[in-house]
Amino acid sequence: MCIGIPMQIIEQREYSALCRGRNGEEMIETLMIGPQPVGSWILKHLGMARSVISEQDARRIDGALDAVEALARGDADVDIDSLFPDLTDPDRRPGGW
Amino acid sequence: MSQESSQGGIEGRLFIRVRRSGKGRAAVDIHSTRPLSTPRIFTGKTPRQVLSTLPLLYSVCGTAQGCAAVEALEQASGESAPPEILRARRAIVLAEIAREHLWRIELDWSAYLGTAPRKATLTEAADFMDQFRKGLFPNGDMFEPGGGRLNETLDEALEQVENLEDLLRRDIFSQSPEKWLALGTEEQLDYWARGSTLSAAGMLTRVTEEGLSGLGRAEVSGLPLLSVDALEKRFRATDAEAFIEQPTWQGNAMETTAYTRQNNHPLLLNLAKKYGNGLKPRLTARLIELGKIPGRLRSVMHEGKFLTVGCGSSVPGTGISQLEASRGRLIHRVELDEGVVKRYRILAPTEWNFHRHGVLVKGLSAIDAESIEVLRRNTGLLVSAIDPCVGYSLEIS
Repeated sequence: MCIGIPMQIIEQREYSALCRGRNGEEMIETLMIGPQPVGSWILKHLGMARSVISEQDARRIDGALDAVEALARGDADVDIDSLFPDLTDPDRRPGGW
Repeated sequence: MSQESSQGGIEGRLFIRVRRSGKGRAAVDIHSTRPLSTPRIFTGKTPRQVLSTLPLLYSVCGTAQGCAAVEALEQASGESAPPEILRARRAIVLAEIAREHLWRIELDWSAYLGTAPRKATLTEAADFMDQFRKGLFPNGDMFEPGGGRLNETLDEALEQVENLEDLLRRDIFSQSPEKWLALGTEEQLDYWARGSTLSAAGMLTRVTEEGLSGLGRAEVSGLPLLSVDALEKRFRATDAEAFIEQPTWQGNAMETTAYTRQNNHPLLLNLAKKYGNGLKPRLTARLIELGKIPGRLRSVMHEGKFLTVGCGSSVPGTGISQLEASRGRLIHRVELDEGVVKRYRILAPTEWNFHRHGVLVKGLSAIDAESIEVLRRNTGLLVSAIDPCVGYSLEIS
C-alpha cells in the first residue's frame, strides 16, 4: 500500500527520465520534481517521480521491498536483518529523511 | 512471488470491472492486489528500527505514515512526546495533505481538461512541504520516539504557510483562500468558476456543463472517529486480517475522504442537497480542504489539543493511532512484546473507499451507462476523485 519504488535516473529528458530500478528500465515523468542530474535516485509512484532520495535510502527501501517479496513468497528462511542492513544499526536516527 | 502480489507488482493494483446491464445500471466488481501483509517485515524489530524504514517504504503519504507509526509506538511503549512535538508532527501531516491535493488538482484535473499541468505549481508544492518540515524540524528527526528537536522559532514554518497561501491564491483560487471559502452557494461557486482560467475552476465548469455534478452519488456514511477501545477489540478479533482487507464498521462499508471531512462546510451542505456525494461536491470538498489548510496550520502550531483524539492504548503493550491523511483515515495498531514488535497492522483509507460494497462500487452501480466510452470516462473520473493510493485497471464491457 502506498509503496514507492526507488529508481536511478540514467537519462533525463525535458519532463521525463529513463530510470532503472528493481523491475528494469522505465520512462518516468519528472514533472513533480523537475529535471535531475543523471545518477540521482528518485521514488516512483504511479509512473511519476515523487521525490529525490539519497542512494542510501534507495538501498534501504529496496532491502525492505526484498523482504516484503520474500515473505509474500512464503520464504520461511529469509534473513530479514540482512535485507535491512541499517536496521541493525542501533544508532540510526529514525525518520531522518 | 504469490499470484496476488505478481498482479500489479509489489505496489499492488485495483482491478475494477464494470459491466453494463442494459437498464441504465452497471454491475461492478472490484479486486485489490495491495500487499496488505507488508507490515509483517517489522515483526521482531524495535520501535526505532521500524521508524527508520516505515516512512520511507510507505512513501506516498510518508509523513502521515511516519506520524501514525511513531504515535502508535509511543503509546505501546508508554513513551510520550511533548505537546509541541505532537502539534508539529500533525502540522507536517497537514502540509502533506496540501501537497497531495495540489498535485492531484494539477495533474488529474488538467489531464481531464486536456491542458498541460503547471510545472511551477507541482514543484512549488513539493518545495513548500520540504521547507515547512525543515522549518519545524531542522534535523529531520520528527519521528524520533519521545520527540525530536524542534526549531527554536516558528518563524520559518510560518513563512512557508504564507508561501502556500500565495501559491493557492495564484494557481488555485484566483483570490485569497479565505475569500474563496466564503462562497456558500452553487451559484456563487459557478460564478467564480466561470471567471477563472485555472484548472480548479475549469474542472468544476466542465463537470457542471457536462451534467456530471451528481455522478457517483451513493448512500454511504462517513467513517466516524473510532474509539481506541472499539478499534482494539476489532484488531484483536480472530477475523482481524479480513477486517483490514475489507473493513466495515457496525456492518456497513464507510467512506473516509476529503468529502466526509468537509461535509459540514456551508457550500458543501448546499451542493449535497442537490447532488449528494456526487462528483461536483467531491471535487469541491478537495478545494475546501485545501483552502482551509493555511489557517489550520497556523492554529495547529499554536494550539492543537484535539489532534491526538483517537490515539491511545487500552491494553498494555499496544498502541493505536488514527489520523487524517490526504486520502482519508489512516490507522496504525502495534503490539510490543519485550520491546520489539509482535504484531504491526495498518488500515489505510483505500481499503474503506474501494471496498467491494463501498462508495466507489455503489456510485458506479448507479451510473447511467449510455455507451462504453462514456462509462469508461465517467468511471475514470470517479475513481480519480475518490483517489486510491495505488494504480488501477479498468475493464468495461
